[in-house]
Amino acid sequence: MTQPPKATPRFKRRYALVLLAALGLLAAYGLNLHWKGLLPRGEGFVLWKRFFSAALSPAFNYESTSVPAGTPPFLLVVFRSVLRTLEFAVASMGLALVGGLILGVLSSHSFWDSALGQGRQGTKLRNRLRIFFRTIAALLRSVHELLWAILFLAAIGQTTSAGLLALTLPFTGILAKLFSEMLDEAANEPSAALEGLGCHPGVALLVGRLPIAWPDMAAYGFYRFECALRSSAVLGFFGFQTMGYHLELSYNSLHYREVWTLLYALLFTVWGLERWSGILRRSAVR
Amino acid sequence: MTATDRPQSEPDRLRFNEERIRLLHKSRPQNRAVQVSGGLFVCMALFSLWHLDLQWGRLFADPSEPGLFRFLNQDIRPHVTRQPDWTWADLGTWLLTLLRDYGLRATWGTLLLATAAMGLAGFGGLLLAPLAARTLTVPDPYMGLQNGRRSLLSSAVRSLCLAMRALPEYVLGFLLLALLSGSTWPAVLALALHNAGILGRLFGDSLEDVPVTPMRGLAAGGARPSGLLLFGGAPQAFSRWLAYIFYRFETCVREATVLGMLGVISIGYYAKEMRSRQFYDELFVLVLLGALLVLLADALSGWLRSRLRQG
Repeated sequence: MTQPPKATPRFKRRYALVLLAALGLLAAYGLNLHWKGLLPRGEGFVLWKRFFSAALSPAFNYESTSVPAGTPPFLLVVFRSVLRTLEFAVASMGLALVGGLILGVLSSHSFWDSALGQGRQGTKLRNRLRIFFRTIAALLRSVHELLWAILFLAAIGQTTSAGLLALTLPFTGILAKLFSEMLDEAANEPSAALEGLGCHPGVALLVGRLPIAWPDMAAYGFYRFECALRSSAVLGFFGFQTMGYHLELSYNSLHYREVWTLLYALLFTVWGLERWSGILRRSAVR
Repeated sequence: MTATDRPQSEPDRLRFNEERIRLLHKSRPQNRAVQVSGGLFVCMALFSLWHLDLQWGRLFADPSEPGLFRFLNQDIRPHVTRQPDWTWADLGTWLLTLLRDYGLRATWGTLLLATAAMGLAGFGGLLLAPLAARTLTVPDPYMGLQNGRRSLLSSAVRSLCLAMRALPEYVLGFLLLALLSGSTWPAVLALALHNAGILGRLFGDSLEDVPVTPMRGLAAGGARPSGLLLFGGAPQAFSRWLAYIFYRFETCVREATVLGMLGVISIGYYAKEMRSRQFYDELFVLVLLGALLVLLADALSGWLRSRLRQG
């Protein structure tokens, strides 16, 4: 039986927006933010003009006139940094997808409630194991990529494996959470029917539940791939040879036209990924 | 194939069943784009793992050499516990001093940063949403056939949203650091711009997806786009908007823990400082504080969203 709709919503929506605005203003007050801080002052204005006029003429070559002999051409450096950014993003996503799928299955209700032995015995243990894996996923994702990066840099030094782990661990946690939710929300009937026919619960999960959740999982995975690309670019601020590294170098030497070339390259890469996922979405809907 | 075609003898029936399974397998839904993309992604991942030239040596190094083991055993151990005769009281004092000196301030600053940015981003999203909703910006909205009508304004606003969210918050903050005086605005603005881009698009999408019947009624009654937005679109999409704001708040808190590295008093700020001083035990406590804050924000946002779903 369905409940009749409530006449008065429990959540007072009309106050929500006012409350949110008030909280935002209070926080701004707490941070000593003043709108005047947004205006460029004195020398700042010249800087703005220089920075934004450089947007119209991105650099195709080094801005500095004294480039040591043997330095690779600027565009090649940009290309290499895009490649390195993509490498970190793709490699970490590849590992995180595998890890997230395993951890996601292990922290889902649908696995523990059906896959391991029917009946009542061991319900408590199963519940505890599920919560254990869920907690691992929560801990992995609650620490930001860059904090992971700092930890790994301190632990194993400036190696590519430190960067890869810093990206992989939080994304594994995020994917595990979403994947387990999607598995649990997938329609129950096919896997129940398979189990009713005597199918092993693990197989029922694999062929009855996973294929239903799969499109959502793939779409979300792709969205996370975009996030991984952005995070990978930022890793450059911590000494890895991704785009952030060159952005920081050029920006600090006031070579704004080089900065814009790098920004355009980053925007183009993100746009390309978005196109790719758009094509996938459209073909999956059809 | 009908029931009368079904062969009678046992081997024939087996062959018949095999044939049917083969046909079923052949007619399963297949998608070329998905297959090609999946294969491409796997190839790219394998290439990247090879080309990154990963060195795992320090991960498994002997505890006497710098590496993960030594880090976990010595570096992140609270320094008071490295003396042979330490007590739990020492550890408690150390932790309390840390919290009093900067820990609580850092956590509070992170929360303020996320909230202020969220307020701004929500405001920006509300401004962008009606312009990004194609159903409202076409001429004669909700009159006649809607399918396939394009709106130049909405495309432009959606591209703007894309550009705003394409750049990572940290990069935006870094660029703004030199352009704005003071150090709080760059972080707030970076977080707000990125999220306004996301919210503008999500808000716009949910405006496009509202049930059309009330909108048609309003339009037939002569409502202009502003009326359609205020009395049809916004009330219907409002719950979704709130849900999106809570969802983004979660991510904002997570992102705010590191944006402090650009100079706002927050967790990232002190984390960077402790890193450069090589106080890894205090760095580790800060990381845990950040994780705790993120988990709390997660729980709060999840609770609010479930309340919202219940109505």
